[in-house]
Amino acid sequence: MKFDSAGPFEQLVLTAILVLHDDAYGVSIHAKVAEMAKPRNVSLGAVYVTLDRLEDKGYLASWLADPTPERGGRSKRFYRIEALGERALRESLNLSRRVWQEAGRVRGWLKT
Amino acid sequence: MIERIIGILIPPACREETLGDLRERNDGAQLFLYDALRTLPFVIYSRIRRTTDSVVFLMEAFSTYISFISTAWFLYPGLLIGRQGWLRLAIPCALALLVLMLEGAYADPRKRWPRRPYVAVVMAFGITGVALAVFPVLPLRLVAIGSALSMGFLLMLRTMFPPVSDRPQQAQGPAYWQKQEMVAGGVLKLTAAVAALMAGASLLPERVAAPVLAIAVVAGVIVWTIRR
Repeated sequence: MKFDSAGPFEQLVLTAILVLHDDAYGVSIHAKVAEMAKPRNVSLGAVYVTLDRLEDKGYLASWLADPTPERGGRSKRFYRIEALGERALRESLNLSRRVWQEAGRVRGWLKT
Repeated sequence: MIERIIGILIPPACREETLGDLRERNDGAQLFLYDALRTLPFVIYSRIRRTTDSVVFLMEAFSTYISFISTAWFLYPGLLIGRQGWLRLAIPCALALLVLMLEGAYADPRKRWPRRPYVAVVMAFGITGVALAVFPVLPLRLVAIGSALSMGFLLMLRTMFPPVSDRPQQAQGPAYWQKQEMVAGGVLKLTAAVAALMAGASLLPERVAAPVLAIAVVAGVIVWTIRR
């Protein structure tokens, strides 16, 4: 079986889209990712690159909405997480949890 | 005015949403410019990654370089013996491929034109010819014949493998180039490493170049084995 996974930054972007739901577009995704990644600085460009890569992998779908005046008559590109993306995020989080549990057990980070 | 200039620099495929996002995030012109200049390299890089098929790119690089080497072999054999000759022969190839890569990234996916891939090849070698006429690092006769040979190869390659943006895409599925990128990503990095190594070695004195090359190759193999 093929294992779908997402890297740490991809996980942040996928989670931001999942949380923002119907309002996931460039600026809002970047703001959410920056909030989650604190104190690490996140550039808008890095978010764009990751969004493109996730779309290429089939994890996301995107579409252009109608133009809005506060953006100088420019459209927003909205993103929606696909089933493949959700599965990849779940797999990655499961893996992280297993790593955390194992390492925590050895080092005593987890209270038993 | 600033927005218009930045708009020209952003590839048309993502211009609309990128400019809109930058406008929404920034009120003043200075902030807009600063944010745009930080974002622009990423946007161009991402577009190049999406529009460049690494396997076809390698084939184009190989056929172009071979064209210039074979032209030099017949017309200026001394160039192949002299130091930095091989490096100088790579300059027109690198220039032409850079123009081709940028042309692919800046192509508007909404405006399809069947002759675009071929016109791009002619344009790339036209620009290369002009650049090498201004900065003559190679004899112009060699550039002309090498370019003509390369154009023949590239036109043939582009007929067999059209640019990524012109290929049919499966709706909602992983992009076509994704499968190839996964295979060829390592190959592309290896080629870049070898090219950098050769370029670096050609700048070193002859006595040092061979041992440095040998050490670099052994180190590369060790790193590759460990990472595997």
